[in-house]
Amino acid sequence: MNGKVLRSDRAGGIWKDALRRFCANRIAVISLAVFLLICLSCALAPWLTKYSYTAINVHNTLAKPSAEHWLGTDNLGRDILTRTLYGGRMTLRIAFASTVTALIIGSVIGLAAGYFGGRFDFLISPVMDIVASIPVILLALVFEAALGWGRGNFMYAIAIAAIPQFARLVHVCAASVMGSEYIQAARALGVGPFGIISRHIIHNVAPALIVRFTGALAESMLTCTVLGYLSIGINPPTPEWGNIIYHARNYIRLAPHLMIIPCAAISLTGISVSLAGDGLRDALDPRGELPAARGLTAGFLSLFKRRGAAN
Amino acid sequence: MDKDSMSDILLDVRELDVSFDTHTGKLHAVNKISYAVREGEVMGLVGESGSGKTVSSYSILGLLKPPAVINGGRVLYKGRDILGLSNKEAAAIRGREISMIFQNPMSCFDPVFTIGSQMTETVLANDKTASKAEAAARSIDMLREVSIRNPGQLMRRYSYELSGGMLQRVMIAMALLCKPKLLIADEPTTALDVTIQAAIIQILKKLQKQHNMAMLYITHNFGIVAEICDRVSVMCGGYIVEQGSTDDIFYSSAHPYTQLLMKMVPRMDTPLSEPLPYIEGLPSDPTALGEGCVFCTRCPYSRDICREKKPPEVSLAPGHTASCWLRADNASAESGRPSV
Repeated sequence: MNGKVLRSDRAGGIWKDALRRFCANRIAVISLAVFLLICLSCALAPWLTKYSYTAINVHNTLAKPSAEHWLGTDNLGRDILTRTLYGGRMTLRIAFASTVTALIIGSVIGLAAGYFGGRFDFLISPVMDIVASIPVILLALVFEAALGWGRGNFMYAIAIAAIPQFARLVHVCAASVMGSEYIQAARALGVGPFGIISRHIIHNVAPALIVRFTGALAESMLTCTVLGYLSIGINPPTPEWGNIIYHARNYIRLAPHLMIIPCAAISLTGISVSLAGDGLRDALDPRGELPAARGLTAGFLSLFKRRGAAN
Repeated sequence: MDKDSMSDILLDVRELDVSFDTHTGKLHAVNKISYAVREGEVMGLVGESGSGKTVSSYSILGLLKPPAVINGGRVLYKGRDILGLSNKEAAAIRGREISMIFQNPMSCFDPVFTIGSQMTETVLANDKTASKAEAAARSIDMLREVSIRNPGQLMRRYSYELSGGMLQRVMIAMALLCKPKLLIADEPTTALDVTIQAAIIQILKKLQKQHNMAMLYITHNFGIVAEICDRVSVMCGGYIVEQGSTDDIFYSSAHPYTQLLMKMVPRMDTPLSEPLPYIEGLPSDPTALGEGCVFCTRCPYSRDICREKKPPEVSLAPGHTASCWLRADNASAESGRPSV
């Protein structure tokens, strides 16, 4: 009668359950592994390659892949592998920094709006709508023009553009948690505002926030490369995936690998983050089983999956 | 109320008035109600749905949120007005002095945390000096008091793994963790089936006696009132229409509403083919309360004066009052008018 008959005592809670579900999803695990590998190799670029990303060698330009230069060299004879790794280092650093900043600021705004509601809510929601309606490229131009070109000021634009989605998500989650009976019960038993926010709201919002973070990370990374390509972002000689592609476009016929390699790096990173994010969503929110509600990438991949006998 | 018992009054609600600002107008949920709960006493708050029982109890703990507005009145706890307290001051009273259990135990626990985590949280929120281990030990002791067999194991469970009856017991344990002087029980057995109800009421009764704790028991079930309450306040449309000891209410109820409510209790000996009895008419619209008695539209004995003026509160016996014109006449004329 003590319950041992019915269930094993593997009490681990929702996080352990989520981990189990995530690990059962092969695509998600592989994607996460690929993404972590990319991050790690970019972070360790100075130790992984023997070349400098600015080392020019005019005697060996546009070289094909070889034992000396695994992925060949570019128009100035610089090692492409080195530049791609350093470029990823820059792109991912900007993506992480801006997304984490947006996550923190957006969460604080959303928590405040959700917890206090009322007037604060009325004030915040339209402001978030306005911010969300500003095109990020325009915002980046404004920041670069106002604060000086080529000093990475466009990062503020990426961060600001990502704030509303976090603020809205946390706002909605917090408001729904605040309206629940367990918050009322906790308050009735003497748990103060700090306990309500730091425990109940944050823990209930966290799963959705983690999923949204992966999506925002992929978006920030793409924005960063787009800005780099448009020469608003990081300027050469510092490599960044976007500006590498921009400068490779002149050699697309002569040496297509100059462009293909950083493009592949961007795609691989973007797809692996998105797939890992989809896996996280499935693991953290078992209710959202509808295929239509799943991510773009998963939907895209499902086109290639073998259909059942009925089709 | 007896003069000599005034000293041991724990909770004194005076002329409490709560309304909701809705788009259809002001909704008067609680209209200048007054009642008192003495130390160690169980006060029943009885009435049909929407009569303002829950709203009045929420306002005691300051749990009401906009659009609810407290228009006036005072809630004296140990002589101190606790209505206008700040969130922080109110948090100091909640749990430690006044605690509450709710109607639906299933939704009163955060599904993200274990039962144990939420119980220790409650201890730590109210007792800053307690260590985590002490808090856990106190929680386990308390779970034992509500007859839970395997408290250590239960502490690691999540709310969704437990049944409603279990959860309500845990809720009671959680509410009593910090030895409150007053427990507000808001229909704690409504969501449970009948056999579990009996068990929960036994536990509440036992713990109430053991800890000499006062209780405000909100219900619409007269069976429970008879079982557990010392005194009863009957609410109708946001007014308290009758107040008295449980015996007063059961054996010499004075207000037609109370009498009708009692008649509406389903009985074992009525044939199943007969429809359940009900009070004719609809509860009066709380956005448009008239001048007269709140029950006049449904009262079988209503007269002109009932529709025109609010009935006065008439004392019928020590501690027994009713607000009804029938009784007002009786009281003033002291004549043997037909008893209803």
